Amino acid sequence: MGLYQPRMQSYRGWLFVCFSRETESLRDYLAGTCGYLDMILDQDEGGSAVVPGTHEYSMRANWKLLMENTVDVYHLNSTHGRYLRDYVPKVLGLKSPNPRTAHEGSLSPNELGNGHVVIEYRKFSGVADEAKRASWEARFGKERATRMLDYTRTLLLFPNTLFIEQRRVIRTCFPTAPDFSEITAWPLMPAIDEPEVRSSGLTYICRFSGPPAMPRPTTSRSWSSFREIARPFRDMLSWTAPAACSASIRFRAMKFRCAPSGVVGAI
Amino acid sequence: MTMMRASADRELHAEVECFLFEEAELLDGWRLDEWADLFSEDAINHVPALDDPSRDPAQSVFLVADDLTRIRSRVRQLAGDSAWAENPRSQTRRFITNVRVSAAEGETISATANFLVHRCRMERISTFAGQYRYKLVRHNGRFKIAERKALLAQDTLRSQGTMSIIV
Repeated sequence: MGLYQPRMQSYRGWLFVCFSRETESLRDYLAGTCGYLDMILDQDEGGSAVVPGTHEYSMRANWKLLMENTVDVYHLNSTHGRYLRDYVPKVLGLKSPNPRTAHEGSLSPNELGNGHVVIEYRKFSGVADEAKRASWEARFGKERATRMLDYTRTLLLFPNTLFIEQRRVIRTCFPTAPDFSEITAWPLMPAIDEPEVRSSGLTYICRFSGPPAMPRPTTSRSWSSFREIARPFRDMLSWTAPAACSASIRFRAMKFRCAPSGVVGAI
Repeated sequence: MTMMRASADRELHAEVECFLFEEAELLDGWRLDEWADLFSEDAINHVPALDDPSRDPAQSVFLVADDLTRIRSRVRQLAGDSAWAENPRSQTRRFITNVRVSAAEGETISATANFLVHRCRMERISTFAGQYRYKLVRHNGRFKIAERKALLAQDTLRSQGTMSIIV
C-alpha cells in the first residue's frame, strides 16, 4: 500500500521511533547520554519499567520553558521553598537542605552533544541506600557506584524527553501552540515487583511530581506567569529562543537574561 | 417497622448531605485547617489517575494519594504564601448533588455524591466534575471522613492545566 515505515531502534530495551530517513542512527543521536541512561536504568537491578498511571496536563507557556526548568537546580529555594522547609523534614523525615545552598554539590549542567543535557546533584541525606553500596561497588566499580548511590541525575534527551531519576518520572512535552504545551509523565519503577519499593516510589511521584503535587502547579504557574511578564520582551525572546534550544550553552545565556523561576520567585 | 426504617434512612441521608455541604463550604471558604480536621486519624484522600480509576495506589500512580499527614502538609502549603499557583487564590464554588447513602455497617457509612467545582483564577474559569465516594465514621456525635475518593469525569487535565486546588 506504500505506507511510510518509520525507523525503529532500541537502546536498553527502550524503543525509539524516527520518521526521518536522513537522521543518524539512534546510538549516534544519543551521543554522550548512554552512560547517564545506564546509571538511571541500572538503579533497578531487575531492570526498569513504566507502570500504570499517566499524568496528562498542560501549561500556557512555551514548551522550552519546561525543558529549561527541569535541568536547573537553582530555582529550588524560590519556587519550592515550602517543599524544602516543610515536606522534606516533616513528611520524608530527611534532613532539610539549606534552601540557599540546596543546589550545592551539584555538578554543572553537562552538554552531551546533539542538544542533550544532564544535571547531577547530591541526593538529600538519608536517601542513599547503603545496603547496596558493597554489591554495587563490586559490580560497577567504586567511582560509578558512588555516583549512582550518592548523586541523582536529570537527563534531557533533546528536544523534549526528560528522565528524572530521583522523581522516578519520565516526562515529555509537546507544543500545540507557541504558548501552550501538553505535558505527559509516566512512572519509571523497578520491573521486578517489590511492593514496598514500588509503593514508596509511586507515593513520591504522587506527592512531588504530579499535577496536584506540591511543586508541580507552582512550577507550571511560574511558566505561565513568566510568559505574561515577558510579553514586552517578546521580540528579544523570539530571537534568542530558537538558538537557545539548540545547545545548553545557549540555555545558560537564556537563563542569565530571563530565568523564569527566579523572576517569579522574586515577586 | 418499614416506615420506621424509611424514616431513619431519610434522617441519615439528610445528615450525610448536610455534612457534605459543610465540607464544601469549608473548601470554598479556604478554611482548610477546619477541612483537614474532618478526617479521622487513619483517613485517606484519593484522586486516582484519570486513565484507570480502578487501580491500586500501591501499584499505579495516582493524582492524589494522601494520608492525614500528607493532607495536613498540603493544607499548610496552600494556606501559606509561597504556593505560587494559588497566590492569588482561586475563587471556587462547589456543587454537591445526587447524594446517596449506600450502606451503613455499624458506625461506618458509605455514601456517594456528584460534584462540580467551578473555579476562577486570574480571569480564567475551569471546572472539575466527577463523583465522590466516602466512608464516614461517627466520632463524638459528628462524622469524620475515613475515606474520600474523587473520581474525575475526564480523561486528562489538559483543559484545566494542573490541579492546584483541593478537588
